[in-house]
Amino acid sequence: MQLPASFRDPSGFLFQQDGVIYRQVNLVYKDDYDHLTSSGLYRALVDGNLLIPHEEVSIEPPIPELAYKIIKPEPISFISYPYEWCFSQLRDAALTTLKVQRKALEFGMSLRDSSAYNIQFKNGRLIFIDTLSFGKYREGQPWVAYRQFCQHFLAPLALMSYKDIRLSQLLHIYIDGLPLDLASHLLPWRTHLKFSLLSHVHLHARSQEHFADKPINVRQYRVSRYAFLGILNSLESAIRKLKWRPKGTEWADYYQDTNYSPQAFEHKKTIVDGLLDRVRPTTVWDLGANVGIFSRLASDRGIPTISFDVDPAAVEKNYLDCVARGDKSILPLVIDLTNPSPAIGWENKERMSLKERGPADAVLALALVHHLAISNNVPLSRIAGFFSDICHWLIIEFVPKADSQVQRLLATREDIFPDYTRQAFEQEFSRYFTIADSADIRESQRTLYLMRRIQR
Amino acid sequence: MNLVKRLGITLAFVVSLFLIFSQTVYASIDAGTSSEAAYAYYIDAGTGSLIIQFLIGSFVGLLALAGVYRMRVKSFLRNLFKKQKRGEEKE
Repeated sequence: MQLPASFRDPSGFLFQQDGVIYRQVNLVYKDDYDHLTSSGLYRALVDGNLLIPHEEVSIEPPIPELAYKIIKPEPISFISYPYEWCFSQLRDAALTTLKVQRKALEFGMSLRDSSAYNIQFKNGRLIFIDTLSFGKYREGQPWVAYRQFCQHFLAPLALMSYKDIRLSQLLHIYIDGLPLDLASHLLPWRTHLKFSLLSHVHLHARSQEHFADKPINVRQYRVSRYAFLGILNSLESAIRKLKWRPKGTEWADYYQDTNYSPQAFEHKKTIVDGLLDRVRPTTVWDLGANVGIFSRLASDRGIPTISFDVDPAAVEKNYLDCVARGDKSILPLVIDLTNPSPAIGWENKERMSLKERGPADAVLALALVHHLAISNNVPLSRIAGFFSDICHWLIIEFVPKADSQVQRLLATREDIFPDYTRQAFEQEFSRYFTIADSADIRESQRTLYLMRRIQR
Repeated sequence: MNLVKRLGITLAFVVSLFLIFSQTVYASIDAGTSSEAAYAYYIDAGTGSLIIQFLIGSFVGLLALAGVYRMRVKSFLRNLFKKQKRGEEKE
């Protein structure tokens, strides 16, 4: 079965057979593919952990008349998308793309596209996954993927840095990156004074507008190798100069917003530790993970863990901590659970919804239910229903109304939640799960539950 | 800040302003038409994107070249100065 995300490039496509993902390399890409391997570029990129390794296999091609080879790339355990990344993840993805492009040039090749979707996280590192993106480079040839690079990386990063971090969500709407005229309109005027943004975003947008319907022979415009490298340098320095941190805060004290006593917090960790040892899940999704303290209980056991939070600052802190610690098993992502990533693109099939990328073996939902039930008015039955769709095991914390955090949520609104009780919680969740265990957290009014999804 | 650096920044600024406010730059590029496909790539590189790339490439290329020559002139002068000094010492 051909994968729906892989149809634009005639050089080949991804397909799935018996649960394994393969890539058909088409005859039209033969020369480039052979150059990729024979020039040593493939080896150099794989050795530098920049390109997904693959092996050539001899299975029947889905479209034999077009096929040159079939390759089997190493699998990626969880596919994530640019609109789910925090600022530094998108920035690192941009820098990885430029690194791959520089390496390609050394071996006489150049990237034919620079979509942010070509980058994925594997074992805590960013890796380029599109083996067929490399084309032979001819002296004088411009970078054909320049527009895409500016749209997928530079423009959103500039907007996140100069305007508002939440503008990364525009990537949801614009699957081929932000239109540069839009980015140019939204960016503050002072960005005209930065040469990199003036040239690659503002003037670029004007140039696109000016030449939109003009038939021009662009072959006469040669970009020398020197100029080509100059552009890559300029893009890299533009990306490196972009910074973001939450206003008026220091990372160190950004997240102290809990009402636990140190003993209660430690007790909660001990209980979750024990439950993880008992279940030994193969994958964990930590929903509402904040800066990922509890995600690390799972990832430190080597369990591939996705650490979701709605707050881009929390995810940023989580990611920076992962990079500093060299964590291999944890991937922090920005997800709004009240509106999780939908399936988007052509036929709504190009990029998967969050649910399609599950289920996880175990979900951690700690200090989360009250936010969903009270801040977002989701009935407990529907919370239970959603969780049963995305996991086999559920480690969930119930925070009662008497808890000060719930009281804070109720302080600014009317209490229209008579059914938000521990009894109702157990009853609703029992429709989808078997409650395997529960434990009260010391010095708090909260309870942790271990639940197992009822076989359907 | 030395004079060369200041001159460089002013020049970059003036060129930038010229590019922003002048359509003549783009208009001068409009010459020459062809129905020939640009390059056989599967994504649309975009004419405007290719042309701005050509302009930026030329500009940053020139800047880099100016940098190289600046270094050369600087080291030439330094060597000259050193030689003179050495000559004076010998005398």
